[in-house]
Amino acid sequence: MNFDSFNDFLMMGGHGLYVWLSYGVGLLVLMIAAISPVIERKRVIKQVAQQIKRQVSAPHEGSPHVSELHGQRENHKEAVK
Amino acid sequence: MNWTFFHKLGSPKWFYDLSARLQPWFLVTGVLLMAIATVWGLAFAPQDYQQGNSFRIIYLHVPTAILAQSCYMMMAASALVSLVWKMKMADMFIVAAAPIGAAFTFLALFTGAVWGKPTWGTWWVWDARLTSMLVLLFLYFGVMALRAAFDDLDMSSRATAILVIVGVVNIPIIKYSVDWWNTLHQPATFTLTEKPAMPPEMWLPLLVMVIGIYCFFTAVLLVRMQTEILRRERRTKWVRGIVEAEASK
Repeated sequence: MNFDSFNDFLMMGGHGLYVWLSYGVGLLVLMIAAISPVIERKRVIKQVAQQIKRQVSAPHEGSPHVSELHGQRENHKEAVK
Repeated sequence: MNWTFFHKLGSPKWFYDLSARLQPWFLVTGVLLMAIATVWGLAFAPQDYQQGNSFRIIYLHVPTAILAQSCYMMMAASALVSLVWKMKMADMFIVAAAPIGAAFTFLALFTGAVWGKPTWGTWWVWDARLTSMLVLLFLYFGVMALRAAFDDLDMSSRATAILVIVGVVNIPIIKYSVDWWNTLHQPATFTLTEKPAMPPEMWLPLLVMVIGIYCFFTAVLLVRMQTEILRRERRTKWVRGIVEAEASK
């Protein structure tokens, strides 16, 4: 251990504010980076599941080729959101 | 040469299955290594004789800065593959990696500014290294914005790939800025070819943090790529299977 007491550790020889601010923001950003993709993944799964449900209830919706194109456009509108 | 691996890598299903298996390991290893390195660097590493304890910010600053640049280089390699072979996975990599790269670049800039205050006496200077890192942040934002701006998938993937490749010019500028210009920023802490100027008890936690952050990056990237695959391959049978299984949970 490089410090004599816990208080010394918190003070960081007068640089406590800078060190803890860096690590605090670092933790926050990394948490957001880790959690937001998980939320996004759940959202997409829900969306696709709903789409499948809709397709099952109305299966004769255009030719597959057209619906494929439509799907791509939809894809991007969702990405914009 | 055996191209099987390359072809497999181009298959979304193969990639999805592999990444689902590997992702937890990368996450656990990454978080563990980062936690060890943080405690080691904050509490046990000796303080710098000149900078005192503010130097402990390097354990966050240097790894995030390394990753910010290497993430961009990986995106550039993908952009080339995406342009030449029109490989979907390469394009998905770019889409998935850009926000993470932006987060790391932001962290490198932020921790650098907070370190600069006690060390240089200022939060920010328009120094070559700092400015080129800011340009990198805007490149990441540019890639993200460009993605959102197009309706057509082919067009948007081509446009992003070109932007990423053009932006590569900035990487050597970041790297050599400290040698080319008289910057306030110090030269590289770590090089592959030379022994570090620090004692091992100072650079070992840094090395652990770098490895940890690479694992963390990979874990987050894999989740983002999986999401992108599910979105784009939603019409395939296997994605439907996964979605139905997960939605009913």
